[in-house]
Amino acid sequence: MESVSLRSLLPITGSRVSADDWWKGARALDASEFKDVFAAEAQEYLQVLNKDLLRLENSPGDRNALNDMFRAAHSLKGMSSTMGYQELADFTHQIESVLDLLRVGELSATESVVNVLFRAFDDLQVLLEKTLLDQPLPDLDETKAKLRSLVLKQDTANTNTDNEESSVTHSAVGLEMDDYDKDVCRQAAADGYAPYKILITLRPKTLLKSVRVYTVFQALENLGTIIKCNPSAQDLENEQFDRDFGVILLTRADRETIRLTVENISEIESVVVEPVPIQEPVQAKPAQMVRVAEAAAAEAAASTEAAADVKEQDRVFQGYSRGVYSDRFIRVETDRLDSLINLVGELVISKTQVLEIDADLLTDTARSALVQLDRVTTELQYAAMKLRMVPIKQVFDRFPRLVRDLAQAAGKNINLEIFGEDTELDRSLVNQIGDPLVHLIRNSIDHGIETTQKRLAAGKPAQATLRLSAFHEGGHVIIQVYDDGQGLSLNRITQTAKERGLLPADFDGILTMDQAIDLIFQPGFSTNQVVTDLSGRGVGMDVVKSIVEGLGGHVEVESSPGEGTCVTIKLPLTLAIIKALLITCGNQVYALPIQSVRENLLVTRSQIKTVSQQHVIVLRSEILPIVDLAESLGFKPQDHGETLTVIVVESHGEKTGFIVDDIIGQQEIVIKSLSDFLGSIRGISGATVLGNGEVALILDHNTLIKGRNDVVG
Amino acid sequence: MSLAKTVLITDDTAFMRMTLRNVIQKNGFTVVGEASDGEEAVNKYKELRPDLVTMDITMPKMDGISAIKEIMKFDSNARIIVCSAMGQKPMVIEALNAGARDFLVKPFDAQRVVEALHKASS
Repeated sequence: MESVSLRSLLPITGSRVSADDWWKGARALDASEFKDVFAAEAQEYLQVLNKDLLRLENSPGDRNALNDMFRAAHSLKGMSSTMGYQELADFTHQIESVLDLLRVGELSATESVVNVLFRAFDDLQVLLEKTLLDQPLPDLDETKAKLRSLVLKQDTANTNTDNEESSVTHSAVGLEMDDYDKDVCRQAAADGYAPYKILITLRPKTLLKSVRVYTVFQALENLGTIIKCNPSAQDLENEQFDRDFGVILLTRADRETIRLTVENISEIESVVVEPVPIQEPVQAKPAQMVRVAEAAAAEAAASTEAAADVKEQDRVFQGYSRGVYSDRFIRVETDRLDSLINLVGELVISKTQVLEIDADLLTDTARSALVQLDRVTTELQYAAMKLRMVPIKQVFDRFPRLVRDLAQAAGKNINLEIFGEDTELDRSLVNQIGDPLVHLIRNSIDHGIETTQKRLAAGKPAQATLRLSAFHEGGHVIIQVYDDGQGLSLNRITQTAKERGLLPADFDGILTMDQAIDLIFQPGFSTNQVVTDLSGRGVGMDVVKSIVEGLGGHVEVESSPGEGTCVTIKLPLTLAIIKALLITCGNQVYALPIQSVRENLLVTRSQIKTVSQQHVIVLRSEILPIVDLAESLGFKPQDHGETLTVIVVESHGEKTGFIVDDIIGQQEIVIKSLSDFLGSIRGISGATVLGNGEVALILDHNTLIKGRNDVVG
Repeated sequence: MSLAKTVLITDDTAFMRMTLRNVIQKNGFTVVGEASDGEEAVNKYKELRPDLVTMDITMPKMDGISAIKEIMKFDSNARIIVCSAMGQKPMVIEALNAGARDFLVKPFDAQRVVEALHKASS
């Protein structure tokens, strides 16, 4: 059934409404389509809510922040009910009611109101996650009661917007219009179009239900434009519904005509047509609307006029922003992007194969075509990689809220500065870098930044600075977390290291800064005495380090006592393509990520000594353990003769020499993960296909070295 | 319904034509002709100018969809009901887009056939 696209369910309306209106209508349908799209968009709205609430907290009465929040909540509510997430829609509706009161100035953004909202946003986040995972929903009665009490306090004053709002919610379950739909309706009202909700039941045992729905759509599109349907067009097309479905039609036709049109279609059991009220009178032009508002203002409170103003602004702003953004961006499922990247990877490999054809065998035309192919493929590869790049803003955006909460809990006065939030990096990196950054920020606030009294006593400004920055440097992305706090406490670190047995108990004296930095990266080290809610959830700097190194990057710490600490994370731009050293071992080609390779050596057998059952060599007066790669991969040791090729690999500051058969050279490789069927194999992180079509396994130097230690230990 | 509406039946199997004729005539319509492929349907439509046409999709010479297009070209008010088997969804959609008024799914249910004829002719 794949051959019928979603579009085919929506006949082109041509002359009846303008192409633009049609396009908007179609887009509104798309919006309720996929859960993933819903999830991503809902998450964005939640971020808007949190961000703007912070803005509001800093400048109560910030009209823009309030409008943005109201719109976000409103859209989220509409989306949720379209998806059939009733609990989510109801809860968002309560939040929206409070925001509406704030927006029209009937409630002021006091600290307690802001705190209730923050709490509600947290709950909303949880509710959203649980809803998406189909898990039992949390009990939000407490927060709901708090939200309700805020609204009730104002209930006598507020007779207008909220009541009308809720009547729409209840009468149009699952077919509720969001701000955008209403906007479309208002625009169309000027041309005499009005929205109708049409609920249709098919006869039992209707065959080819989806096609029947299609005939209904076709007939209705003769009367106007369908701006919404429930279930989604996708579900209707896939027959993921029983017998009932509903649409909202924007039309000039009257109710009776609509009813007769639908009834004249075969296999329709029943049809109900209702006009849909929208907040502003549908027929009214903007000028009339203001008059209506003025009349209301004369009767009721003066604030109503402000409300009408706000709505007017909304309309203008929305029309603007929708147009701009929807033209410039499209949403794409990440799976599709990943498969594109994968295919491009394959293409690059095939290209390499073609380029390996002996040039002498080719004609001039073929040769120049190949050069062209080479160039285009390389450009395509970069263009495809760029598709997966996203701004680090996605991660940074949640930190203002985090810092606010942590600072408030710790009773510290902190100003968060964010730089370079537009810096782009691979999507997969963005997903994984969040947790390490959260940990670093917690560390800064818990351990680095002093209390206000301490800061003043030390002659520092009362407000501490926490700076989060990101920028590109060479082929890398650099992320820095800086604070102007007290720096690493050498005394405390020395003390803790002794307690944890990382230093001998009789260690006399104080560590140097470099030693201290080395120590904080040791597993199990945490200077925090009490495990607070905020930091020290068993995650230490060692975890930060291993996550970052797992992403092919590394962490550096600089600190000066009394002045502050700066943690620098250096990450590769992308994970999909890496530079690797190709080697052979037992007739098999392996790839080693180049950043882990320190050097290559030729060693004669006589140089190898045995120290405590381990083979070592002395390299520049350092002892280097030597391991046969074949052996550590679980194969039989190879006979390499007298001269051995050794590759020195470093992981977690430890170097090991691996004996290999031969070195092929450096090459860029496209990483492919091993299938789930194979699971994770120790020592192997993935595979790649070489130019000649041969598969090479990518060695995971971290586990190779660690595994070796485990055996020895 | 003052005068009995006229119907042209199009199907490549004689059995289906017979079944349809039986149902259609029992319910107050007049079958004015039968066609066994698309080409014949187009020619007979021009000749007989029936009120209604039932059109099978898969047929030799000219398929039902092409036939619908041809007939619609000749008479944009033609009332055609497309007949399909299960699993021909894309074709049915194409037929509807080409101008068919309704569709029937085989095996036919007599009531459904009658309903389709009534609705298409109203």
